[in-house]
Amino acid sequence: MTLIFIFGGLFVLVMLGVPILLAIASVSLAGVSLIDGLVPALMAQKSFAMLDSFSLLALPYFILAGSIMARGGLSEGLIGFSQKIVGHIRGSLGHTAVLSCTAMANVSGSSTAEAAAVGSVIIPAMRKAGYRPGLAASIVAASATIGPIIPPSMTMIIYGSMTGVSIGGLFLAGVLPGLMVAFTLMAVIYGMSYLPGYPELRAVLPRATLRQILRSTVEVWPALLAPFVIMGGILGGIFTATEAGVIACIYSLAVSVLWYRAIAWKDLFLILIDAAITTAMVAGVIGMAGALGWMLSFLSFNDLMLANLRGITESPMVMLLILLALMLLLTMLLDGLAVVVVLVPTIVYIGQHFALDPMQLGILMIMITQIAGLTPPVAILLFITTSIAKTSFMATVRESGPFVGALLFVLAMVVLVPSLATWLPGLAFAP
Amino acid sequence: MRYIHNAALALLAFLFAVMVIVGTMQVVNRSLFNSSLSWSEELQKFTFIWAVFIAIPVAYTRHSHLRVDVILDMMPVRISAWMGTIIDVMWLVLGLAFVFLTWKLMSVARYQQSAGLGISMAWAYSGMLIGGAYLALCASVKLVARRHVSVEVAS
Repeated sequence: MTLIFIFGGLFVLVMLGVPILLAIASVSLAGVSLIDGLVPALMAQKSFAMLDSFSLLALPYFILAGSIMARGGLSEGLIGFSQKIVGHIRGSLGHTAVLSCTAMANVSGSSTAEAAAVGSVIIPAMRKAGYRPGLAASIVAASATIGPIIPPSMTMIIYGSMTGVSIGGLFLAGVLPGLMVAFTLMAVIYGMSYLPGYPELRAVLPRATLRQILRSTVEVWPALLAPFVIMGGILGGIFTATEAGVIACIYSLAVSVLWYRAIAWKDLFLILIDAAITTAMVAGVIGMAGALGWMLSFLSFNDLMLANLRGITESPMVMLLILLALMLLLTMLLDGLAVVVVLVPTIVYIGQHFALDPMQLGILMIMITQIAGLTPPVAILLFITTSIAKTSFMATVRESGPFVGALLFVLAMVVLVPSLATWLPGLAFAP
Repeated sequence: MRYIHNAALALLAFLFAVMVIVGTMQVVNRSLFNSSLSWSEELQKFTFIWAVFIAIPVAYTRHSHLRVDVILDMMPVRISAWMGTIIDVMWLVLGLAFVFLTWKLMSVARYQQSAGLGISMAWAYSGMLIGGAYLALCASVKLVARRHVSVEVAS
């Protein structure tokens, strides 16, 4: 009964437009004051303890590195570079969007940031080339989902620090599925260019000369090199994900201040503030979820869910599908982050009892939050790109079908072939 | 009020800078000199938590907290204005609750020492108290401003 009140209250508050952080905090606050046996002062201690984790520090570091890189005008450079590589293939600007998002994903860990950064440059260009605004918005939104699947990734850091799964391992696990999403999207766009309904996809740009490609490579090399520095260090066991975050900060700072000269020292103050606010938006929610989780475990929510789900099935595969469907449904209705911080501990707890691989489960959860960003009613990525494309939300939703299909296809592949997620981390952390 | 906001921003930038510098020192010490610092991890964690709780009110005054506003946008202006007031009151309560709860926690934890830095845990917790107080202050200012607006509309 209490549990119904907790989840019902959360759902109603979030739906009424109460910020997620405030909704989770209010429900926890009401809970600790009303439920017998909980000491209220421990609520502050539990949110502190949730954030008091060295692995979670990867979050502020990668956010800071991302905002330093973004300030350096990186997205324009990467889009120009991608255009020279894939611009001559049918579906030219569509491929450019996918490829630049894939390249951006190496320095950015958030799909919303990526949709805004890449979208604000490429969507106007697509519209000028005759793309319907809805189609342009859909392509960019779908491409932005690659951001958190390819490391670094904010969602992976959150998932890892909440469940104790290695964040470095999750980073590695995301590489192959992320590349697969990119290839599948490009294949879909290429295929669509042969359909009668998509004349705009047939336009191509002249093939770039080798010289032009080299010149733009010089322009964007720091972004292209970054993943090798970061992932190489984690793969080689040289440093942890948090230390990789520190190195990413120093690397991006050195590149933007010394090489590009795009950032003056006084800009640094604004960048630090910006990164601090983004960090607090995410970490604040995590901290409050710590208090809520403490209350849920007091009410033995995990065991209750496990017992109920056990009654339905004993098969790990069926259980995995149930968990995925549940996550997809909730993330479609609510914000992805809220669902992750509230439910992931429980889902991983259930997953352990069914011997599901935590890396595979993690990558699937992250992909689901991204797919939910493309599906109404709450489709955060479509909202962002629609507002850039200046069209109606429905016009974008109508065009998004094939791309959601592409992502669901990759999701199904990772369900059926767990090695896609587990092979790379297995290489690095082999016993 | 402007001075308080600016002080908060300066403190925030300072905390973040400290975090990065200490993080760098830790990596350099471990990889080049092969010696780990005993206090660096804890200092990074504590500055991180301080920064989070001070940045929550800043994000609130800038309307940047994540929210689902699909339904709210469909409501008539009057109802969404009401909802806005209710949300501000909830922020105010949260801020006060954090001041109160952290105060109680600090009085218990005063004699408890942190593992790495050897300081009293009360120092680590106090970021939540300051953040809570700042949050309550920002919410009150907003509520007062709202009242003024509605009085003007009414007259």
